[in-house]
Amino acid sequence: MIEITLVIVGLYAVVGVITAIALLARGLAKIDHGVAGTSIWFKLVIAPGLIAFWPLFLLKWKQAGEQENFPEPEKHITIKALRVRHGVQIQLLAVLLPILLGLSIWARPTVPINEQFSDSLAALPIILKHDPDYFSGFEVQTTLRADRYGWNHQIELEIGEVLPLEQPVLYWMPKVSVTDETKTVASQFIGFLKRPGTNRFAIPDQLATGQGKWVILSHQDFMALNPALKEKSA
Amino acid sequence: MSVSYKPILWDKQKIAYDLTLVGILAACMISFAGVTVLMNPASTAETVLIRTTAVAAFALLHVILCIGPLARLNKLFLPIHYNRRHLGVVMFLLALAHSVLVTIQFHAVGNENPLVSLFTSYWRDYNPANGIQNFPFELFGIVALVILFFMAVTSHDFWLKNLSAGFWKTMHLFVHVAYGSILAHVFLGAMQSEKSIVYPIILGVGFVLIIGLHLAAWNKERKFDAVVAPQMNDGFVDVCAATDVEESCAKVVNVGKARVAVWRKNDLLFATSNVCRHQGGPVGEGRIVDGCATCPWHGWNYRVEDGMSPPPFQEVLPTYPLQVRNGRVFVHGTPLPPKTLSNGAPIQGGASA
Repeated sequence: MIEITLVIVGLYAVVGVITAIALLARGLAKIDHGVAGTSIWFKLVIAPGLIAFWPLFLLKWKQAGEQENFPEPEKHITIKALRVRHGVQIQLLAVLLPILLGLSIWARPTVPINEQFSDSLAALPIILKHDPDYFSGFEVQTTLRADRYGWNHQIELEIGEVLPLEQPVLYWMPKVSVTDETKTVASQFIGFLKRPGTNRFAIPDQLATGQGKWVILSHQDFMALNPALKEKSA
Repeated sequence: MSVSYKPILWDKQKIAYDLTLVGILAACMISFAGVTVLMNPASTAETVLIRTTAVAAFALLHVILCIGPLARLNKLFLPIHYNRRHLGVVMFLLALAHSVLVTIQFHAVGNENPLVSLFTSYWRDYNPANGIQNFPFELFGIVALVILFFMAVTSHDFWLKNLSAGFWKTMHLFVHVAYGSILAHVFLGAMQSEKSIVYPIILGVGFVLIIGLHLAAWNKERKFDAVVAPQMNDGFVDVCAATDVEESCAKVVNVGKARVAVWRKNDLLFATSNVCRHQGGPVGEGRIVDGCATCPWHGWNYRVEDGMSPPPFQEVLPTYPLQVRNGRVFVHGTPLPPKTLSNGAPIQGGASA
């Protein structure tokens, strides 16, 4: 659907470019006499708009050819009508935007307290660099935290830029080799990491206190390493 | 108002305006980028550029949206209204730079068309059951960018004439929708990964400022429109005392549903429409300069005697019959035929046409 829409928009723009060139070369001066003799800079200034509004100007060009004197567009402005529209828009924004602000604050991931787990409680997360080629040149800051009541463990990852992986996903694995097929089946999916910035995920308590590894892999690679999971998901 | 179009009608004021704009903008952007790098040493150049262009465009939009109501509330702000469209074009270019950088940074390295990726990738994460959490905020940015595109490419007076002033003004009113979309884009995007309460506070202050100013200006106009003197049997309306009108200035009054500017020129009174033929600016809030009523928004000129712009320009402002009776100004509710010459009504008493 998106592809089709983009192709349609692209075709519209291509026809717009051709029409704009024709209008600037011949037709526009017939529609608006003020265009005659204008500089190339003026034509460049209005060209993007002609590309956007080309059907309207094609129609005007056709009408200009049929009539000796092209009628001046209606110039009257109904100020009161505009004022009403302005008032409606502003009042709608005044109501809707605070609601959206409130909802977006409410929807933010829970902010953990700034207390990290001590080493005795849990192993700090380790990001397993499965393939050094994938991970060269970027850093992921990780913190394991609890909320203010000491439960709802969370892992927080600060990612500076988009990860160079297809569908990067965070997993937790028991402390075993990733190539051990029998053990990695116990791995737990934590969440997708598509967005740079701070990513927070709630995790089960046993993952916070147990010995394990946090793994960022492309979803495809992880499935390739875990045939059992692949079969399950299939 | 030009007979043959020019790309930009430069004058000293516009040059000073644009140089000031570029200077302030450059200083702010360099400062912001510097602070970002200092506070986040791990930031990449791309990230700094993306954030700097976004913040600059967002801040500039706040300035743009404040200028209109400020100029309605206080004449002191009219000079910054004069060249507001240049601010709008610069704001669009900054927003465009931000969106191009974001598309390259986050969508160009995959094996999918970057534009397809831009429109589809974040929807995969979104679960409607979670409400607005993880909502693809890019959508709001794209909506705003499309609106700003149409506004920027039609900012020249050529478009005002060829799209018709009413359509043009209505289209440019969509800037408020663009503002709402950008706020939604920020609320559901950048703000979701920031822990500090400072960001919602800054956004909230900007929102209160813009909406507050617009509501105040809108309310002022609404109150003004509510004061309409009754029409007399002869079609005239008692609008004000003759001495209320200062020399070389106008008093704006309501006559029926129209706003009329009562001008005083050499102790003679004239009545014209208050709506400039350019962008609907309040002509009557300007002054008589070189014998012509001058709109305070963009300096369009009209002779108060017949409403015509001085040659070679061809715009015509409607004029109204005016009489002075017992020190009171009376304006007829029906405009005169276009280009009707009036001798003006002496403030001591008499008729203008």
